[in-house]
Formats: sequence, C-alpha cells, structure tokens
Amino acid sequence: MRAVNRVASAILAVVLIIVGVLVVVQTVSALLDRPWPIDRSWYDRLATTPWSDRAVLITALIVGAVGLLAFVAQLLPRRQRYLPADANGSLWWVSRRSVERRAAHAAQFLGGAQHTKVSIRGDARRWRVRVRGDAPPHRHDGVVQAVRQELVTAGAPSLEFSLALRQPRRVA
Amino acid sequence: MRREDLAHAMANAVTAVPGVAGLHPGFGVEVATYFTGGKVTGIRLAGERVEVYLVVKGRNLRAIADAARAAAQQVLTAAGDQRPADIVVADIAAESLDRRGATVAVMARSGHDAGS
Repeated sequence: MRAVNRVASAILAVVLIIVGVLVVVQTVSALLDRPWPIDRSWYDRLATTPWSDRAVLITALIVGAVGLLAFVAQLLPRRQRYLPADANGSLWWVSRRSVERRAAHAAQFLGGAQHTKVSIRGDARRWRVRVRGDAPPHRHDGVVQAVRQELVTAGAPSLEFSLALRQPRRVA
Repeated sequence: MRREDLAHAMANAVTAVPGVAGLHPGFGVEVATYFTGGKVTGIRLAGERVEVYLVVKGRNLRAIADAARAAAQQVLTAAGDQRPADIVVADIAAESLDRRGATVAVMARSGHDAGS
C-alpha cells in the first residue's frame, strides 16, 4: 500500500473510532436517562437555522458548483490510457504513454530526428500517429520507418502517420 | 481451486514468461485479487474476464503479450475456468529503451552524421 493511502486509512480509522466512542457514550447516557454529555450547541444551531440563511445558501451554491464541475469534467473526452493492440487476431492492451515514449525514442535514435514527441490515438483497427520534432526533409522517411517498426512490435494494427517535423536550426 | 491459489498460480505462470518484468497494479483503483490475509497485485479474477496487468522489459511487446496470454489461459483451463484472460501491458521497463547498440549502428551507416 502506498504511504499516502496508509496515512489516509489511519486518519479515517482514528476518526471512526472517536465517533464510535461518542455514540456509545451518548447511547449509554440516554439509556440511563442522563443529560447529553457532549456539548450540543452545534446541534441546536443546526436545528434552528433556516434554509434561507445566508451561510446555508452560499455553502449550497459552492457545493453545487463543485459537483457540477466534477460532473462536467467526467463528460469531457480524455485521452486513452491504453491502446488496443493485436496479437494473432486476439486483442490486448498496451499503455499509450509507454508506447509513445518508445516511439519517440525510436524516432530520435533510429530515425535521426531531434526533440521528438509522438502522440497516438486509435482503436483496434488503426492507430493514428502524430510525430513532432526537428528533422531535415531527407530524414523524414527514416523517422516514419523507425516509428513504424517500433509500433508494429508494440502490437499496432495498421498505422496512419501525420508528420510535423521542422527543419533543425543551424548552430553558428 | 481456491481463488488465492488460482491468482498465485497465474502470477507465477505469467511472470515466468521471458520479457515479463512483473505484475502492475494499474492506475487509479488497484488491480488485484484480494483474499483473507493477502492479495495478488496485477491480477483481477472478479468479473466475466480475467485481467492481467504486466510490466514488460522486452522489445517485442506483441510476442510477450501473446505468450503471457497463453500462460494465463493455460492456468485457467487447468483450473476448469473457461473465462478468457485479457492482457494489459501497463508499463514498459526503462531498460527496453536502451538503444546504444542500435544508435551506434545507425551512426555507422550514416557516416557518423547522426548527431551533427
């Protein structure tokens, strides 16, 4: 378990234990017909606050806005975490970021491009590959070939390339 | 076969495949098979399909995934479980990016102008 999960679990456990003890104390107290042992002014305040109270309205507005934003964020399209790949006709999945990193590496070290970035989208039939970076025109074919070879070994079904390669700047 | 035994058997079979560096917990909700006293990370037995999340270290992901699927499926079949196994390559080990040999070959072919 990650450290942050351990800390969060420990905090939650302590809070639940405290709440549980308070509930037990209150229950026993009620059974013995004794007064509420814990300060209950907060409860009296909550029970008497009307919905039209300014603080209630502002809190409700903020909570509603946050909820709406979270909902809209879920509806927005996201980039795939895994790309569907193909092995002898059976489907499997591969981490998109890992494959992009490998493809960019291939473009740089095998294709001769510089400052390469590769982004991939796709489905089980075709991956659309965009290669950005710096490479002179005579190296473009080599870049495509290097990336293609890398992606085929990574399980790419068929490939569609889009190149955005700039002429490297000469250093005086 | 008990669930934990099946998960352990699958983990052993899959990690024995050449090119598989280990199992991966996935991202977000942890992929694992939970049981009393422990868990097997990277294998999810709940559901209609069994999921296996891998870290690979080889070059040919297609071949590794195929071999891992065959290994997982063999364990499932031996246990009388007819569910299909889905392979997810969740990460690729950094050592797979080591291309020093290939780079030298490319530089030699292109007259050592690769870095110019």
